[in-house]
Amino acid sequence: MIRTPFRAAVHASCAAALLAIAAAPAARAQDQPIAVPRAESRDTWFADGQRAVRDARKLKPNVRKAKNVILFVGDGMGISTVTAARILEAQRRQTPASGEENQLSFETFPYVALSKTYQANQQTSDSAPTMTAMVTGVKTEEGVLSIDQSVVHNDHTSANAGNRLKTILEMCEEKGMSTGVVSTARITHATPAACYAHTPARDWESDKDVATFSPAAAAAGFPDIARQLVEFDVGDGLEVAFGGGRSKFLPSAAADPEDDGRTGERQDGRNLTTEWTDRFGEGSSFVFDRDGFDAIDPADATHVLGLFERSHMEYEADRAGDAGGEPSLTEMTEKAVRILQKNRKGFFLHVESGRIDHAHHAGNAYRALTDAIELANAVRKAAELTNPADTLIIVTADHSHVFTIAGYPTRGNPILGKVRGNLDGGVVNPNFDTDLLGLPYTTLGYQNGPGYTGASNAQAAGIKAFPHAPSSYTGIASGRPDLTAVDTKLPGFMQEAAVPLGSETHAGEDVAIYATGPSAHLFQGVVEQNVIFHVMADALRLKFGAGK
Amino acid sequence: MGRIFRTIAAAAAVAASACSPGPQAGQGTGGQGGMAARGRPAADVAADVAEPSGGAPAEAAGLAATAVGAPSRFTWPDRAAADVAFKWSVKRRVGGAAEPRCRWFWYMWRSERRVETLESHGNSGEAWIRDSSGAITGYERHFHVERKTIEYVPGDLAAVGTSADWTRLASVVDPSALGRGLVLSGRAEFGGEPVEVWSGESGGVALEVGWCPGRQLPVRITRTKGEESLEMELRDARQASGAPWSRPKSDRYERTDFADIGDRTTDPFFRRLIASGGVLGSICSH
Ligand SMILES: [Zn+2]
Repeated sequence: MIRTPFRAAVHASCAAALLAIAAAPAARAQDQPIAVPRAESRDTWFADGQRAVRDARKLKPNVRKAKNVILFVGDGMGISTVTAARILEAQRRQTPASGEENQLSFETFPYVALSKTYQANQQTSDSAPTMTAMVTGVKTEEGVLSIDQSVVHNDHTSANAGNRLKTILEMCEEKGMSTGVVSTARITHATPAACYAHTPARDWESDKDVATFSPAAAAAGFPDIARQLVEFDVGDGLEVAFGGGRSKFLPSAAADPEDDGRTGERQDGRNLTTEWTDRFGEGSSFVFDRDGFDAIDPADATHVLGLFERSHMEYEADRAGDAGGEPSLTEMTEKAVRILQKNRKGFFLHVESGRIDHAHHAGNAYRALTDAIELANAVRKAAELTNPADTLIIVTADHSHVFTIAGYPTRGNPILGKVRGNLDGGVVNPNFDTDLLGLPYTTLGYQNGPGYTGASNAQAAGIKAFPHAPSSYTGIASGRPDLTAVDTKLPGFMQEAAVPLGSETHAGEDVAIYATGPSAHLFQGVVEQNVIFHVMADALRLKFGAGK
Repeated sequence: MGRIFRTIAAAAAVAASACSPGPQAGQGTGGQGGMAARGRPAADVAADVAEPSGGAPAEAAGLAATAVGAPSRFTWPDRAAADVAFKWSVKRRVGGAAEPRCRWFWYMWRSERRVETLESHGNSGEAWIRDSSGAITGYERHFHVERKTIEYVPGDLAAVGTSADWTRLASVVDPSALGRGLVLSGRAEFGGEPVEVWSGESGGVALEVGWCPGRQLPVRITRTKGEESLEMELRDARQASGAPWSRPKSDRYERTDFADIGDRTTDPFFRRLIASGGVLGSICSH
């Protein structure tokens, strides 16, 4: 796929390869609706409704003090993502089910509220202020981590002790609890970083980044996020940090331990992975691959740093292909809980599914939903390992994405497939539903992003081929691509987008909060996102001094 | 005629935009045209992929032998050279004029683990990287004016629906595509190396490729449609360390993971890229 001036004679396009596969007859058979897993009738619906009310009546608020708190964040996991993921999870089972009736693990939690995700200066937000709101109780500005809105983005001189916000993780460390952060993104990425770092720019992940984005901050020695993690001095430091982002911790002179020919990126010569083990001594470790991860014995481990990729970890859909092998979010969550559980004073753990967001930005629902399902697996595992009587588990998102579930597909229609509705008389349409151009369309789509099919200066209207690098679009002049023979359920398929943008965007509507355990009942109605902190603080009986 | 013509057809927009000044900061690379699927419904393209090789018109065959020739003093670098730099001239002609409407250079550096390209009048280049096992482990887009690199890991490439084949990357054209879409219409020599001339015509687009099997590289590609022709000729090939043109120092640029671009909304460069569809965009949209 080298870009010759011609773009000629160059390689089979991904689109062509995709379409060649899609044309196989088997793909068509897979587009059939999937059966409902039980016989349904007026009686079953009615009984289910009654049972739900009975169950709700039995709910008793858990007003005990929480010993442990686990905060799960699906980055970009809006409600449409949850709905689509629940359907896909069931449709992927060994015995596939229609899916609409399915519940992801956290959807069985008894308490749900809606979270308003706007921030101090953003209608639609990014992960930095949203996570700051969740872990400090205070909304702040775009791109800022755990400093209040008096700070100026990217200006280190505006960050000081006065506008620094203490995080729930820091408060737990002060109480002698154990703490951890787990993410499939870089562990220095905005969401996990808001728990332990304070910086006026989320992009200052390594010293090289600080120098790039703010030479003045670099000259002043403002600590980068990776350094803040390793030097974190509240309590006895974090016990667990699992994720990606290894290059932020390794010097540029050091060869990467997993990726042949690659190095770290730090310019200060510091190897923060060895500083971690030097600092914490016996019982501490740094691991970077599956073997190292498997070798961690939670019974002995005290402080564990696991960085499984140079940058973000793999999408769950691609994880099996990773060179060094890497643990799943579920496995990292289990290991983290087992390590942290040793502290009789309890623990705080934040777990982020960081790549739902990335896959949505890329316009690829397959990977976004696969990661959301894996988040549900991780939540299930955490719930199994803990006691709901003493552990508050919260599952939420930092913000949504412009991801939609459209049309009138019949029950059990493949959620990644094309819309096939019901005809008059209730029978399933043997053909796909079509738009006014006579063309089928997918159930899932994006309001904006790279899936736009209009003509650009580089490619004509319709299906685009990698690498498509337009500098302008001229708009849709002749309809949409014909998806009839395209298997839209394949991992590489990108859903269509209405507005052409190079990267699909976050969305501004509310996201859900699912909760179980002590104080979970305090999630009621529509709340500001920073209320999440205050519920956790209530559960832990945290007291706030003047410094807050 | 098969895929190769569809890909050439996709180059039309490229040829046009290639004459314009290099793209401005944040405007993407401009004119890095599309491939097989250009302007055609999905089912049609799918059929193309499976189409057996077609025949070329007789008149195309006769052109070849005289069209391929190395510049004077051209010499191929030692076959054992580990890192080779190539330079092609690119000319766009309109209306059969002897003087090209515009011309520029296109560079490629090819080594065991890396293939990198650069468009002389543009702002951008790219590189593909593989590891010692042969697995492709990275793809980079370079914005030389802004000194920024965007890195794609294999998962990013998969998310946007693509895979790459090293043979195709290192050879500029897919050698196996030649026989499927074109016919062998002549033989020539280029700097002492035998060259096969493949040609054909489809949908009003004539294509001719001078292919050097010994170096696994095209020495000349000509595409003609109506009044307009685009011609790419190998002008120089050197051991990289001795080439008078140097590889950009892209390893010193600010590096950004492709997956992060959607969240880089406070950076003006990326904000413009997102809005323009630029590099990240629609990597393989459907
Ligand atoms: Zn995002």
